[in-house]
Amino acid sequence: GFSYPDTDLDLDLLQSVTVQPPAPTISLLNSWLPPSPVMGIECLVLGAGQEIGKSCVVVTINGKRIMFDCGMHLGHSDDERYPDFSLIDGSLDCVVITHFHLDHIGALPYFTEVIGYNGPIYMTYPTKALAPLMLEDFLRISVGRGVEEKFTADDISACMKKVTPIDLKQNIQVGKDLQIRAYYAGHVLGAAMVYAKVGDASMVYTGDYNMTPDRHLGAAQIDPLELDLVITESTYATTVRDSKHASERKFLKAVHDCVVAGGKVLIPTFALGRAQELFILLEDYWERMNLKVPIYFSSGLTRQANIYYKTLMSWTNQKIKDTIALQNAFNFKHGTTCSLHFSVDNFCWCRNVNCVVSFDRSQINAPGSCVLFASPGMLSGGLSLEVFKQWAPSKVNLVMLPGHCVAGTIGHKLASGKLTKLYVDNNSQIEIRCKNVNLSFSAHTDSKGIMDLLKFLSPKHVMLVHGEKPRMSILKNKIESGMGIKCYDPPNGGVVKIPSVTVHVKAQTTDSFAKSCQSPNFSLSRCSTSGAVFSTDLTSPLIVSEDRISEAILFMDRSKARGVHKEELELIGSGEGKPQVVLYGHCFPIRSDNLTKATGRLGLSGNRSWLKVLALELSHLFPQTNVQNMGDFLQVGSFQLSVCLNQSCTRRSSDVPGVHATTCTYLCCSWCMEDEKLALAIISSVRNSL
Amino acid sequence: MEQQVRSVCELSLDAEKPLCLQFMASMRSLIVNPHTSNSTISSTLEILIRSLQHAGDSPLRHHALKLLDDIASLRPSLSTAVFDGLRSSFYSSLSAGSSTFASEILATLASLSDKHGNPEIELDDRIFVSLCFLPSVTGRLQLLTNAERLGIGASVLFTVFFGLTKDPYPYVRKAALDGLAGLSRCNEFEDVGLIEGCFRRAVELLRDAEDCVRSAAVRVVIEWGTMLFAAHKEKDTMGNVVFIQLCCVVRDMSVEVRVEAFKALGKVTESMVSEEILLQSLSKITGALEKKIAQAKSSEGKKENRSQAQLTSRVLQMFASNGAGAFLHGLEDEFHEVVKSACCSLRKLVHLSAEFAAQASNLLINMLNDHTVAVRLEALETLHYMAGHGLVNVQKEQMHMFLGTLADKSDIIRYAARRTFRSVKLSEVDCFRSSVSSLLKNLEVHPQDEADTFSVLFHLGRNHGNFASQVINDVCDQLEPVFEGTLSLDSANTAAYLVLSISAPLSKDHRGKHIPPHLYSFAVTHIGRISLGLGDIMDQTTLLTYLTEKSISASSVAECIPEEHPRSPVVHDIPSQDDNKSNTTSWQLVPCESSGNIAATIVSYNQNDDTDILKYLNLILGRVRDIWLFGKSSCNSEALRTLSACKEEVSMYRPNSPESSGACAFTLHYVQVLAKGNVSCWGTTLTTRLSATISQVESLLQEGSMEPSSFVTQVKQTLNQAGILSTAPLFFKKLADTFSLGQFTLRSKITHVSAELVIPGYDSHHPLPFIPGLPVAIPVDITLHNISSEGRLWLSLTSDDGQLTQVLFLDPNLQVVSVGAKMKKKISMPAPFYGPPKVLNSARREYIPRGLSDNIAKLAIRRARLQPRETRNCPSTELGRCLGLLFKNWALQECWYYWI
Repeated sequence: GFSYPDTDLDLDLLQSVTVQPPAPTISLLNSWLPPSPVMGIECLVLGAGQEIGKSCVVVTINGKRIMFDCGMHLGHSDDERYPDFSLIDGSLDCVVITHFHLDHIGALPYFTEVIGYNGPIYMTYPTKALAPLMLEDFLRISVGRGVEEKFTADDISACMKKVTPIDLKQNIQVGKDLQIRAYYAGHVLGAAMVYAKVGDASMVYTGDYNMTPDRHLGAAQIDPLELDLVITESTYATTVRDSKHASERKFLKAVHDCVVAGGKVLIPTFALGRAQELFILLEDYWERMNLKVPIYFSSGLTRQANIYYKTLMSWTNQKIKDTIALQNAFNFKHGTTCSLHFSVDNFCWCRNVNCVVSFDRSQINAPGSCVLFASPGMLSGGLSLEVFKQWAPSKVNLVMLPGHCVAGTIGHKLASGKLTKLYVDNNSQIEIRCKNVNLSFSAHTDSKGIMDLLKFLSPKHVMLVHGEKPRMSILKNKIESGMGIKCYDPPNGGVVKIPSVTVHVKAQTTDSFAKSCQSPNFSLSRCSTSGAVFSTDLTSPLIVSEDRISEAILFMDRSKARGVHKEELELIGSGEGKPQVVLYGHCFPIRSDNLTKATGRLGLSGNRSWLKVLALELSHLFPQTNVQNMGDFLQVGSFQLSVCLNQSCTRRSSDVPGVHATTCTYLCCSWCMEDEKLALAIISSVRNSL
Repeated sequence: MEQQVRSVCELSLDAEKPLCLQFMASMRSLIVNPHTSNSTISSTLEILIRSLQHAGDSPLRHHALKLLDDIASLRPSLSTAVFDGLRSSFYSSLSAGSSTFASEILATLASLSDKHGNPEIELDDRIFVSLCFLPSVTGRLQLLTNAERLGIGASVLFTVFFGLTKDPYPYVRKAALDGLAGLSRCNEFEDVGLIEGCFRRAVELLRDAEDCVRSAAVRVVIEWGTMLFAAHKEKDTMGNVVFIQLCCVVRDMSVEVRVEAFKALGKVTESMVSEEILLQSLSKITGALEKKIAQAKSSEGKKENRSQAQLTSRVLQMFASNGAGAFLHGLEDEFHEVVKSACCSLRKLVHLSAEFAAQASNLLINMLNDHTVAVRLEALETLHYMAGHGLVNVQKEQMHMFLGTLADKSDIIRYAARRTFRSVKLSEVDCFRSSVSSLLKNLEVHPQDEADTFSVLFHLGRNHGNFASQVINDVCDQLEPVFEGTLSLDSANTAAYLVLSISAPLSKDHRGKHIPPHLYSFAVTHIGRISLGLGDIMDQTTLLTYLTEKSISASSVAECIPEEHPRSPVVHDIPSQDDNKSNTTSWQLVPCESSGNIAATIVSYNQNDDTDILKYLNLILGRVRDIWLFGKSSCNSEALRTLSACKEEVSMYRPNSPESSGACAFTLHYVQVLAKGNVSCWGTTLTTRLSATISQVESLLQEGSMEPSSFVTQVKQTLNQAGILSTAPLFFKKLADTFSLGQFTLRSKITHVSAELVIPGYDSHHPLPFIPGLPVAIPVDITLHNISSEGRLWLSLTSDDGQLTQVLFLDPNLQVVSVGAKMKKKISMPAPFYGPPKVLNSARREYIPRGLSDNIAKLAIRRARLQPRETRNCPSTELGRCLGLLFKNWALQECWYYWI
C-alpha cells in the first residue's frame, strides 16, 4: 500500500499521482537530473528472433547484462543450432533460464562448459530438476542417430551444478544493482517469467507462457509492475483459440468410445508436459466414470519426470492443489503398494489402483482394451511407432494425436488422412485401418493472451521474440495501434535500444510538506477535454483532482533532493539570501509540417510566424486569458512558450513515439507554480491541435 | 460488590480523575452480569459518558466506548440513553479538537443505530466534511464506512466519496467507492455529467494497483453504469460501454476482482447490451466484431455522428482486444470461485437472448467435464435453471458429456444431473434412448438412487411422450413377466420402464399414447417402489387408481374433457382446476412439484354410466376426424399410429350394457375402416369396388329417402368418367383429397346386429373327413346378436377354390338352442354342403388340415357368410356421408342395423 514515509518520498509515485489523466506526460524531473552514463535498456537477440527455436536474448539494463534463455534450434544440425555467443560484447552478470524445453535450455551446457561462462545461472526448482532429463534424453537420441553434439553428459551434470534454483516471487539480488524475480508462467511445470530491475529500469522476459490454465498447470500470474520493456513470446501471434473444453470433450469421447468398444488407444506424446496434462484429464474422467480400463504410461524418461511432477505439485494449478488438500490425491490413496508401481524400465503414474499396471512390450498384443501414452510424439520412432505398427491394422483401435505434427512425420501423414499403408520393413507392409483423432492442445498463449498480458502490464516498450516473422509483424502493428506501445520484432543478431524513461529520486521532505500530504485536498471540476477513458464530447463529465502532492516543489541540491511545500519556498530562498522563483519547464515536439501548413494559410513564414499562429490559436482556445506575443515568445500569465532550437534543452523529455527529430519542431515552455493548471491545459491543447 | 464498585467509581469521578483500567474491568463485570440492577447500570453509564468528555487523550477512552457499546447491546432499554450520551460526547470531543476520537464515536453511534434501530445520527454536513478532511486516515476510513448512516445529504456524500477516490490510501479509496456504489441506490442523481464523471472515475480505478480498490470499482461501474444507461441520451452505446468495460476486467490477475466482475456482469439488465456484443462475450473469435469496427471507423469521417462513431470504434476495439470471450475466460478459469461466479451470471443473462442461451448452454455442457465437483455442480445448476425455462436443447454430440454426469462418482453431481434431466429438452429419440439407458445403467451401479431415478424417468417421459412410447414399445416384450424360469418382475429395470410407460400418456405433447395397457397391470405389482419414486408427483392411492383405470380402459384420462368443448379432441391440455366442472365424471387433482412451470397435474376419474361411455366414444370419433385431417396433411404414418391407438382404446373398452356395446362396436368398426381406408392403394380394383359401394349407398339413401351428399355425387361423376380417362387414378386421388370426414356424433343408442359363426371341432388338427360325392355335414354354431325372429338369414358356404357356393336358408325360430339375455340367440346345426371340394378349410382362420388319408378328401370353406336381408335406415345424414367409406370394405361377416 501507499504510505508516507517520514523522510523519504518516492517521487516517481508522486509523479503518477500528480499528473492528471488529460494532461500530457511531463517529465519534470529529467531536466534537473544529470544524465547517467549508460542509461536505458539494450537488447541483443541471439536466437528466436523472427523464428521459433534457440531462444536467447542478452539484455543490458543500465550496464548490467543478463542472458535470458540459452536454447538450441532443433531444426538445424550445423552451427545454426546454437546462438552466436561471439556477438556478446563484454561479460554477463547472469543467465536466467525460463523453462526446461530444449529450445530454451539446450545450449546451456555448451555455453558453460565449452564456451566457458562461469557466472551465476538461475532457474526455478522444477526446471533445474527436469532440465537434465531433457538434455540427457536429447543426447541419447543424438547418439542413437550418430550425430555428435558439442557437449557431453558430463557437461550436463557439471553445468547443472552451477545452477542456482529460485522460487517464485523470490527476490534475487545479483551483485549490487541487479534484482531478478520469477513469476508463474504456466506453459510447462516450472516455467517462469522473469522480472529484472537495475536502478530505475525494469523489464520482464516472459519466456513461453500460457494465459489459460490447463489440467495440471495454472495460468500465468504476475503483479502489476511498472516496466520499461516486456519481451514476450509470440508463437501464436495471430491465432485466437476458442474454448479448450471442446477439445477436451472430443478427446474424452473418442477415447471412451474406443475403449468401450474394446479397442486400444495409443496416445503418442512427448514425455513431459502434454503427457501429464492428458493423463490427468483421462484419469480424472476414469475416476469419475468408474472405468476400469488400464492406462499405461510407458517411457523411461517419463518415469523420472513423473516423480518430479509428484514432488513439485506446488507448481501445478490451483485445482490440483485443492485436490491435494482434500484427498491427498497423489499420495498413496489406496495404500502403499499401489500408486507408484515400478518395473525395470516402465512406470505408471496413477492414483487409481484400478489402472496401475506396468507396461512392457509383451503387453502390446495382450487382449482387452487399454490406453497407452507412449513417447515420442508425432510417431517419429521409438515405442510409439512400434506400438502403432501393431495396433494400426485393427479398426477398433484409435490413435490420438494430441498436438501439431511436423510435416514429414508419420503422425502428420496420419492426421492429414493420407496414410493407408505403412511399410514395416522392406518386404512387408501393414494397412492402416485404425481411427485417428488429431486435437490441438497447446501450452502457449494465443494472441489474445499476449494482448491481455500486455494490457495488464502496460509496459512502455514491447519486444516480440519466438514467433514467425509475418505473424509477428501483424501483432506488432496491433500492439502499436491498439495500445500505443512501441513494439519491436528484431531478427537474430538484431539490437534494440530503449532509453530509460523512469527515473526515481529519493528525496527528503520537509515536515510541513509531509503534514500537508496528510489531509485530502481534492477539487472537483467539469472538464471538457478528451482522453480519459473514452470521449463522447457531448457532456462535460466531472473530474476530480487531488492537489496535496502537487503543492510540493522538488529541490535538487547537488546530489540530494528535497521535497518542499510551496509555502516554504520563501523560507528556503531567504536562507540563501535571495528569493527564489521556481519555474516549471517542458519542451515537447510537434510536427513541423502541420505548423508550416497553418502559417502557409496565413501567408507567413519563419519561426516568428509560427508563434503568431500559435498565439491566434491560443487566444481562440482560451478566450478568457490574455495571450501576448512578445516576439520571441508567447506569454500567458507566467506561462511562456517559445520555439526551442537548443538540441540539448534540459527541459526536453525523451523521445515521443511516432515523432522523428527531422520532421518536428520543439516548443519550450516554462511557467510558475500558480499557473500550472493553465500551463498543462495549454500544452495539451497545443499538442492535440497540432 | 455492586455497591462497592459503584461508590468507587463515583468517587473517582468526583475527583475528576481519569478512570483507571482496574475500575473499567470492574465495570465490565457489572455490565455483563445480568443480575446487576438497572440503577447501577444507569449510573455506570453516566460515569462512562462523563469520563468520555473529561478523559482528554487518554487511551482508556476506547475502552469506555467499548463498555458503552456493551451496555447498549446487553440492555436494549438503555440503548437510547447510550446513544444520546455518545452523541453529546461526540460534539464535545469535536470542540476539543479530537477528531479521530470523534469519528470513532461516530462509528460506534452508527453501529448502535444499526443494531437497535435508534434514530439516525443527524450530523451536520459541514462537520462531516471537515472531519473527512482531517489528517487522520483511520478516522476518514471510519467516516466513509459509516457515512450513509449519519444522515448526510446525498450530494455532500457524493462530493466527499468522489473526491476521496483520489486518496492515496487504498482502503480509503475502496471505502469511497463502496460509498458511491451505495449512493447509486438513492435515486437522487439525475445529472448525466455527474453520473458519467463518477462512472469514468470508477473505470479509471479498474486499473488501480490494489485488488480491493479494483473490485470496489467494479461494483461502482455496474451500479453507476446502469444509472448512466438510464440517463444518457445514447442509451445503446452506453449500455454496451458498461458491459464491455466489465468484460475487460475479467482477465484481471486478482481472483477477487474476477469474481466481482462476473457478479457485476450478472446484473446487466435487458436492453442494456446488444445481442451481438453479448454473443461476443462467449467467443474469443472476433471476426464479426472486426468488421464492425472497420465499419465504425469508416463512418468516423462523416460529420453528423462523428463522436458517436469514434466512441463506438474505440470501445469496440477495446472489446475485441480484451473483452471478447469474457465468459469463456471465466469458465476456463483456474479458480472455481471465478467459474462459479461466471456460471451464476450466465444464469442471469440467458434470458436476454435465445441465441446467447443456446451458445451458453453449449459452453456449460463442456463444463460438466471439469475437475472440480463444485464447478460441475454449478454448471449443472445453471443448466437446470435454463432447462426449467426451456432454454436447453441438448444436441446429439453433447449427449456424451451430459450423460457422463449421470454416471458420476459423486452422488451430489448425479442428483443434480438428474434434476437437470427432469426438465431438459432432447431433440432426438436417440438422445432419449441413451438418456434412459444411462439412467438404467446408473440404477445398476447405484441402486440407492432408485427413487430419484424413477422420478426423473417420469419427468423425462412426460416431456417426451412420443419418444417414451417408442422406447416402451421397443422393450415391451422384455417387460412381460416370464413365468418359466425366473420371474423378472422385481427387476429395477422393469420398474423403470414401467414408470416410463406410466408417464407417457401424461405427456405434455399428448403424443405418448401407444402404451400397451397390460403394462399398467404389471406396474401395479411394482406399486410400492414406483410410488416411492413418484412421491413428489402423486401418492400411492392416486397412482393405484390411475393404474387400474389405465389397465382397464387404456383410454387416457387426458381425453376426457368437459361437454363444453366437444370438438377439440386432439390437442388440449390436461384439465386444470378451472376446467374441473364436469358433473358426470369425478376428477381428482393432485398437486405436485410446483417449481417453475413444470407443475403437473394428474387426474384420476371414475366412470359412471352409459352417457359417459357415449361421451368417450364421441371424443374418440372427434379425434378420428381430426386425425383424418391430420393424415391428409401427409403425416400418414403418424396418423395411422394414432388411429390404431384409438382402435386399441375402443377395443379395450368393456361395456356393460348392450346399448353401449353397440356403440363401441360401431366406433371400433368405424375406426377400423378409416384405418384401412387411409392406406388403401389406388389400384385397378378401385373402380369396381367404388361402384359397388356407391350403389349400396344409393339404395340406403333411397330407403331413408335422403339426398346424396355432394361427395357421393362427385364420386359418381368421377366413376362415370373413369372408364374413359386414362388418368383416372389422378382423379381419384383428387377426389380423396376433397373428401373431408365429417364430425360424427353418437347421439343415442345403437344396436349392433351381428352374428358369430363357429365350426366346432374344426381346426388344422381335426379336419373334416368326407367322401367325395356325398354331402358333408358341417356343424355350425351361430350366435346371433340383436336379430329379431322376423329376420331371415342365409348361410353361404364357398369352397376353397371359389368354384362352388351354396346358400342355406336359416330359420332362426327353428334352430334356436337357447335365448340368452340381451337379444342373444344361439343356433347349433349341421349345415349340408354338396359337391366334391378337396379341402375343407376355413379361409377366415386359415387353418391348413394335415394328415388325411387318400380316400378322404378335404373340404375348405372359403367364406361362410351370413347375409342379412333387412337393412333399415341410416341414423343421420352424417353417417350417410361416411358410408362411402364404410361400404367399401363390406366383406365382413357382420351387418348393421341402425336406428335412431
